[in-house]
Amino acid sequence: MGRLLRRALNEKQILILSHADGKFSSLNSLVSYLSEKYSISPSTLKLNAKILKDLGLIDYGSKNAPKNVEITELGRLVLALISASENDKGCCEYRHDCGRMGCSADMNGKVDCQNEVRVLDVHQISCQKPEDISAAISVHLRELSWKLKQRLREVLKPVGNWHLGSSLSVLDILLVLLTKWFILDNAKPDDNVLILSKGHCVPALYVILAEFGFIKDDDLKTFGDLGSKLPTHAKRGVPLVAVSTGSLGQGLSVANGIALASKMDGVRKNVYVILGDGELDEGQIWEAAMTAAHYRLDNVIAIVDRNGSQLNGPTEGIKSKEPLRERWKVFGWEVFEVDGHDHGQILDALMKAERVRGAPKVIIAHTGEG
Amino acid sequence: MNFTVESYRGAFAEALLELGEKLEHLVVLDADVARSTMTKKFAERFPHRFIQVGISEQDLVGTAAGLAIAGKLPLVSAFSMFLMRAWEQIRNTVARDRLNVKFVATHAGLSDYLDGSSHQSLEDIAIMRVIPNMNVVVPADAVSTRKLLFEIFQRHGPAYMRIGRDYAPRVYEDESEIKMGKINRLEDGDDVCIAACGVMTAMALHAAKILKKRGINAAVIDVHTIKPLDRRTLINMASRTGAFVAVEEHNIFGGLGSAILEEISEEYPVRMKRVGIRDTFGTCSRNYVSLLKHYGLDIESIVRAAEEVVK
Repeated sequence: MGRLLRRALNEKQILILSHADGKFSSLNSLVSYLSEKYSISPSTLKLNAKILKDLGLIDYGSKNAPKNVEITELGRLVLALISASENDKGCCEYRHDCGRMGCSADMNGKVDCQNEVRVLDVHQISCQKPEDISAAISVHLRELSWKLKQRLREVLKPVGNWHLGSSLSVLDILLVLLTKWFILDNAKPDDNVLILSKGHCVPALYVILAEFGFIKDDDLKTFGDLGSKLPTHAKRGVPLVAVSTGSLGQGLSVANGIALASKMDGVRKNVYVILGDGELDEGQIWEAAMTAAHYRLDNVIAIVDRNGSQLNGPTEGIKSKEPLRERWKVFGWEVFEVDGHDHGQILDALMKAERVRGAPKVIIAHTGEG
Repeated sequence: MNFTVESYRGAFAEALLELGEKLEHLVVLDADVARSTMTKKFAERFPHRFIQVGISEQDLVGTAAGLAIAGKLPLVSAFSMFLMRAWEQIRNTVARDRLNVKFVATHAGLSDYLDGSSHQSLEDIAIMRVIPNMNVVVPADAVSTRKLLFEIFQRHGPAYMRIGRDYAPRVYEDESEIKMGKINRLEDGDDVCIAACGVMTAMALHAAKILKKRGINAAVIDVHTIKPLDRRTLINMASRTGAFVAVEEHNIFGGLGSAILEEISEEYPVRMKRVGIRDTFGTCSRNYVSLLKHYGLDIESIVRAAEEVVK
């Protein structure tokens, strides 16, 4: 994702973003500082600053009422995300991203890339701690999550709180996933695939889809009613719903099929599958887990909503799932474990999971139903 | 009896190679029976379009669904009996979304004679035809296997094709026209209509010859497409002959006979006899034809049923 963000923002924009810390009293003073230091024309810098302002990443007031150049919360988040990926990859990849042939930058962060003199600045950014991402993400998503959970309760109230706990437990996972997908990666609906193998958690998806503008708020009010566009279980045809589910245990096989097709076509596409912990009782899940590992489907990212409860009681009482990490591991999967309500952790795991090659990945997200 | 016999599976495997050349998105999936279903030939010719999932039929169906969603043309081949364990996956994941997955089930009916009742699939037509969006075809011989395989790819949506493990007497000429959803009238007659499918079609034709010698003019129709059923032809035959015999290598409950009865009894009820497995499981035998005979699936039984129904 860091790479995608870096493509979305050019180096000059990243440079401006990293200096928008309130120290410069106007855009002009920032521009002249950067222009002198990095030999970039002031007009280029101004144009890029304007783009950043339009994107809501920085603020510097207006021509008549200039303000200190400040980074916004969203800008901080974007910067943190870029730096997080830099942290993991090192600076060399950034320099190779300068896009020019013959770049001979070395691996140690020394400035010997002839094309990009701004490497050092980015390297400094990359030294931000991973905790910073978590903090930045939290600021951005905490309120949204709270609001969406309230809306979810409103949606499910008229239907007797139908599977409310299951939707609440998965909401943060879906929120981070879709935020990453559509905002941070700026990807299109077709660029990835989402499968809700636990199809009864689709109300959580609906409230996020409404927030993102894929469906209408009014449609939420009709949830589960005769003729509604939003049926109780995930149904193909609703935005982002790749396959109808409702019968447990079937989503992972479908994900494998899509992932195999992508590999055949040489298309890089992540297939995200939301699994319930209860549905791990189904044998088909483990058939599919073997298939994914056999074909090294590294474009499959499963996320287990480990809320610890299934229809008739606690999961460990019905049929034990533990040791869950080890079970996935011996099936040949790369395993990550996160607090499923910590947005920063979820995002971090998703980014790390995407980088793993040669094996399918599972994120066990520990969640609660409240 | 003087029959040319040809292998169902051989015809299927050859036709599949042809299709593989024609349809670049065709992908064949297998659950460790490719040698028996003969899709191994496809695997050898198109290794990159063959997916082996191991002995896991539920995963097999789900994976095929994913491939269809991604725009491929998945063909699932398995023993009929063991594909049925993934009935729920076929219903919920494939058929509900009308995904373009084609199922070719081999070893259907009693044709896996030596393996016995665990392997003999006598209920599959019943449980596949009740699934909305599903098409069900049962070829009579090698020629129609080839033609109907091409046909099911002409129509978007899931289809279930049922063939035997073994050989079938030839019913059609190479140039015969066989269209999905359209009954083939093989023999004309006004006294009784014998409706058959699968390997029983050849026996029905032979029974008609015997009946003719005994003064009964029997029409023979091949109802290779059990869903969608060619209702118009059935009503037409009912009104013309006033008597029906349905012949199938399947339980008399829910199969071809039931499908015909459901259709004509609403519009043009006539007397009818069913020749099929009378609600029992199969058993093993060293010989296919003896096994069929053991359950009353033979020419004599068809002749007898026709004589009774015209009385």
